[in-house]
Amino acid sequence: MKRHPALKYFRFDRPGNPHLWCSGCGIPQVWYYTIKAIEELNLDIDKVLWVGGSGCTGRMCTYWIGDYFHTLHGRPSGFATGVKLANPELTVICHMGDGEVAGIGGNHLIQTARRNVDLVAIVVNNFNYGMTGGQFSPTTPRGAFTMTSQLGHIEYPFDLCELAVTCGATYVARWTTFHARPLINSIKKGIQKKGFSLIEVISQCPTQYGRRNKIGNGMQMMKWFKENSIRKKKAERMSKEELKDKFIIGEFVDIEKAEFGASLRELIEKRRRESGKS
Amino acid sequence: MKKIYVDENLCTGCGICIEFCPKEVLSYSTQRSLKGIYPARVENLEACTLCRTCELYCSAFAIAVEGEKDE
Amino acid sequence: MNKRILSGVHLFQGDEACVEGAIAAGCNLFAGYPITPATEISERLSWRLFDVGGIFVQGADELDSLTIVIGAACAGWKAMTATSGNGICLMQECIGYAAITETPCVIVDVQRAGPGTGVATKTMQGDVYQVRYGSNGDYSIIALAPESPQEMFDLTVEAFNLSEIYRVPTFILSDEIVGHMREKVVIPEKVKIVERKKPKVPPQEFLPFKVESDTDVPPMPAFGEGYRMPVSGLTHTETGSPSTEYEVQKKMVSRLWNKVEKKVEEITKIESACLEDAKVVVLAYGSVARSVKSAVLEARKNGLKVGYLRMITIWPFPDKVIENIAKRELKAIIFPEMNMGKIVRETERVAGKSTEVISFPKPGVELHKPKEIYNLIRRVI
Repeated sequence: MKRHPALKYFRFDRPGNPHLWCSGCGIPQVWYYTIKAIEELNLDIDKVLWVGGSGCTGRMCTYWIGDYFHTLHGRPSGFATGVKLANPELTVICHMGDGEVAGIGGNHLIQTARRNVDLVAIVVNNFNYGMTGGQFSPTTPRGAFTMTSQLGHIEYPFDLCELAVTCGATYVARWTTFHARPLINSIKKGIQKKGFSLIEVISQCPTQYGRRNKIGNGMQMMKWFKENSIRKKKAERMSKEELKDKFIIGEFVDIEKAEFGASLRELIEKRRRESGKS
Repeated sequence: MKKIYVDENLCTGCGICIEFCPKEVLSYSTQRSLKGIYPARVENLEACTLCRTCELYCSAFAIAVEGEKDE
Repeated sequence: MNKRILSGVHLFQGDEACVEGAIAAGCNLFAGYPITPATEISERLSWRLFDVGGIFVQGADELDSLTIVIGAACAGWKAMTATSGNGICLMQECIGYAAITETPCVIVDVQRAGPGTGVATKTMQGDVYQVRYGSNGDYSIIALAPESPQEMFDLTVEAFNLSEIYRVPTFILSDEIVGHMREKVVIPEKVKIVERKKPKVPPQEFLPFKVESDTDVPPMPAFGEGYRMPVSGLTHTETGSPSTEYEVQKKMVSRLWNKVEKKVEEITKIESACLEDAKVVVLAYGSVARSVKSAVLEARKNGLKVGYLRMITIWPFPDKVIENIAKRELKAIIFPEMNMGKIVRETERVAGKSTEVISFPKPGVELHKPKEIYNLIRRVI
């Protein structure tokens, strides 16, 4: 029996068979896409660190066979910043859920983007807090039904990509779990980029969000992503009404900017030169 | 030599591979697995183009494709 | 200005001396947020660290600061943050995380009057329980209380060493008086530094949390050294695998607690004088000890048989030391603290059956005057 190629990089002594995510969940798909990106870039497993927070997406790092850093809810980017400063040679990949990154972790997100820390932040957006039972999150659309918006959600959601762009991220993209190939390419771009990259992945949570909003199971939700995604270039020519309830996918920003750790290391050099003179 | 393996101990019958295979190679088994669901099974191996979409999308890491495109 | 150890005689502010202690001990990263009365630590480190090839980061807030510190520590560096009581509140989640992941880090708390915003520019000793029990669940930490800028240097070095040996967050419980006062600080040529234990076996044989006994501290590889470290805040087994079993929780928590609490004798540092024939003993820590020494000196001049004991290590609390003091035939133990009476409760727990324990609380802003302590000694004796 040949094993699925993802299992080569998998820790089996962890909860679940082989993992704890629900049938049809998008998170294991993103897990494999990350593996593909690492493989296609020929990265050394021992130099790749996966960082996660708390929650379904946060658990991704605990199955990675290399070093992993399973941190606090919403705070992976803070911990990852510390790691990168102490060892800039490591490739640091943060997997965070929409709930944690845009809620409790909001400040960490905007500060890390503003500082332009060399990290890849893969944000799995399944529109709710999945692990705790499907409560609404800062990306839950208005009108949706969740365990804490059982009468219909009244809050407005964040556009995570717009937020990241405004904060100064150097590479921002959005795809869905359906768009595997462009997503893998974006992850590769993000890894190679010397700066803060944010890749939002619209993902299915069939057990909570999909069920409560009558969208369907994992497969049906992926069909829904496929049928309701519009590429950025096309979306620019469409009206607001036409774009209602659609997912705008593509790359939003791809720029170069001085990176946080590199700039700090320059200060060490600066002091060295100055003290050499005196 | 192309071959597709479905591990019935892992497959959860989510149907994603079946739905998105561009050549309709896979279908639901008519027999329940020990997990109590109808797992995916290979219906039409001939039609497989080794695109590996099923591997990409499998959310249970239960499917594996053997064979290279240029063989 | 590239030396780590600024040996010589200096006139330093407590906060400045703390910086020099950190750098001498090998600190490579500092992340902190401006907060009175600890801001001077950030400000000095913001150029001094770059001098020695380290990195200074101003955190977006206190908890951002501690996440960066813990991240750097897990990647192999010695790292520190500094704040005051309000900042420690914000850091509690991360303190618990550092405790369960056994990450060495130093947290300087230059205490100020509280609760809440309190009086930023005045002193207090209000955080003594917060640093020990502030986070959720059970774990242990080490806390040292300096009484002078010299000790701000010495104890910061000690804190780094202890934190590397025991793999716990280690606190410097300073206060605004000690942090802001200027005094002579002598920095020696060499300083004793302890590096963290690294694995002696290759990665294939290494089990990240495998120990021989429940007071053991496992070796700590850094990320990127090939050991494929599983670092997680979940309760874990010796392989780092998360678990929901009672036996795993019991084993892990017991070791996190015992690795420090059962090593009290090795860790404890105290300073005492005039105890042999004392009828009354005055306990103290931090800046209060300065007034106590003055008062005891005055009392002895006037023939009063009084002694003092200063706790340099507050946590783990030195049970045996206090028990032994109480067993002598004392009239009373007097304990002045700049709070409503906190460590006096630990003292009562241990010494209360043998002798009377008298709390002398002054809940912040003003230090006990030597005369006040002297008058109390007089009344009690």
